[in-house]
Amino acid sequence: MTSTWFARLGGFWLFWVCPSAALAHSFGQVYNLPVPFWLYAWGATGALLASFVMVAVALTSARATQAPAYLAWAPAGSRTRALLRLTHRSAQAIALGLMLLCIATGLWGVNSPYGNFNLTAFWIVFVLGLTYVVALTGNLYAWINPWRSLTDLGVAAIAVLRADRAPSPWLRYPAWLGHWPAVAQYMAFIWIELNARHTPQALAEVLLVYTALTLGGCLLFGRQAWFRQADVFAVFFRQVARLAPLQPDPDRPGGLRLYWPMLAVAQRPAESLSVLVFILFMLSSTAFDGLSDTLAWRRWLWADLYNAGLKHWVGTNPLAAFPQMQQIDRVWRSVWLLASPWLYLVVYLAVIALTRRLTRSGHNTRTLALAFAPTLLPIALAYHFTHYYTLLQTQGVKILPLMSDPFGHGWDLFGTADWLQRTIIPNPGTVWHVQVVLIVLGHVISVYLAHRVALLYFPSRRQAAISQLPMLLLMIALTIGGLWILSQPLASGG
Amino acid sequence: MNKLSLALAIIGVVLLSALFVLLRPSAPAGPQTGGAAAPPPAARSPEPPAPPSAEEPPAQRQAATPIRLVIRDGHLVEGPATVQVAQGAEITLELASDSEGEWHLHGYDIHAELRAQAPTRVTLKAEHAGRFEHELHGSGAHGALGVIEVYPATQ
Repeated sequence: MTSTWFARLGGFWLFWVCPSAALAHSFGQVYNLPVPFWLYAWGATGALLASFVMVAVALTSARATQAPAYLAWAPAGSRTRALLRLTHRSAQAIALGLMLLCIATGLWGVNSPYGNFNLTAFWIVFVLGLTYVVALTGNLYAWINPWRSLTDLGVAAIAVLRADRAPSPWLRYPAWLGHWPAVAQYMAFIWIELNARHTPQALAEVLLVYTALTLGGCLLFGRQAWFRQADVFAVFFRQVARLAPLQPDPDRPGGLRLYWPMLAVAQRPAESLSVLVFILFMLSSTAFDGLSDTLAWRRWLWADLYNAGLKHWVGTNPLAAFPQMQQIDRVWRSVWLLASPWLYLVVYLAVIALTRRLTRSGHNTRTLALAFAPTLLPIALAYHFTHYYTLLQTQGVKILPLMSDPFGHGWDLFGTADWLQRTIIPNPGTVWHVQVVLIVLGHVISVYLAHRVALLYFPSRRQAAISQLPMLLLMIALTIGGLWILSQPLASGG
Repeated sequence: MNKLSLALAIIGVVLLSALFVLLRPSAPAGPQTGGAAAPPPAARSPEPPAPPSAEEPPAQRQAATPIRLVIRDGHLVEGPATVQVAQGAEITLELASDSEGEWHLHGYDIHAELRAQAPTRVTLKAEHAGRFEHELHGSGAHGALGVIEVYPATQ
């Protein structure tokens, strides 16, 4: 079977080594092997089995109420407040300093991904590491957001210069804009992650553009509105923080409440349709990143579509066709990446419409779609983690030596420059088990949360259980799809 | 959660664990399923249930025969793009390049100087399991040539 399509490919296969520039490949090597078939089979069966158990649990459990908070804490007393403010200001200063350092090392440091501090600090520590920390604790990002600190400083400076009160925004943030600017930025961000050349200098430039965009947006619409509605990282971390045990206390400003991890997810529906698309893109972009590395995906364009007609266009001479095919491949990937959340949206809305029909619910599709959207977050996070966590292990730890020599000039500021120089290769067996177990666990949590939401929105237990069937099918599809991607052989040289 | 749902949850966990033990290939009852991942080469039959991997059936050889990789213009033009071996095996790569350059195997961090028209042999013991890219530095070219997949001895 291999040989037949090999024959169909003709001489073209020789050039079918098409290095993708995805983050995981050009920077921070990933040594993961595809999950073996038996583990994939276990995970898939496990997800099915767990789903049936969850339905049974659903049928027997009592009516859900809002998740109870176990501890409520708010800073009391002037000393606590002062200490907290000091901690907050220090954390903000450190975060802002690190952000500026990422730009500075990009502009003036060595232009090597491994020798420069900024790629590891930004992509691995901030984008990956902070995501998991936020999911496990609370929305730390809202607390230390360096761009927010920058605007705070700007406002303070203007106030001093003008001896005036803080400037008011030029425009009101239009309601129809929703969170769409954040969705657009998120798409650009993932596109850059998967397609751009990852050099320290390019990262510094991207950060400068993003900073300019953020400051411009704040100037135009005001800080509050911009970071609440339009900023990609603020919206991203706020969604991730729904899973966290520590949530802000709505009754007391500055207060916190402690919940069971994940249980707070179902508390609040997604804010808007744009947030729903944002959440779906979290799912679809990671899935697409995994999928586009597989041999099956490569073969679709490079063999199937090539033979189906592309060869008449780019020609059958492999030498001449290769660069053109690479160009087509780039566009092809981008199109699918940007289309992916909309495809997910169509399927998701169909599922919700079916739910509504089955239960004859009085709630409209929009209400239900927004209510169930956050319950997809555990699946998204589990897949995200399994896709990326080995990078924390192999490249994340390199932040220690890089801290001592951020510019790659041979410094040793903290005496850690020589640490951890050996390559760390995670054991594939461990990686496989962690991946499959976490995906099944994420699935179970999502199914459970969806059931809790159903109990809040549907009057009878029976109706709630029926309402869960379409959603359950969707979640099983997402989970088994995710596992399938992990088990696929990967394309060579990518 | 009431008692019944707790019991159901426990039954679910027990079933999952039982299934895990059953499916595990090392268990006597475990079906050895060839599929996405290749079983260790030692267990290969003459007609391997080859994963639809790479451009030609992946090379799974012992140390005796070197695996020949021919590189032209920084691209692999001959030889397997995916070399699959079992952990612990010793393999020899014969690298023939049309230009000078430095060959680098990630993870193992093995470097070798390539000279035009004179093949270089690299022998390595596949101690670490995983998926390792090899690439060419220098002479303008910098790109992945292919990968070496080392499968754990016991899956």
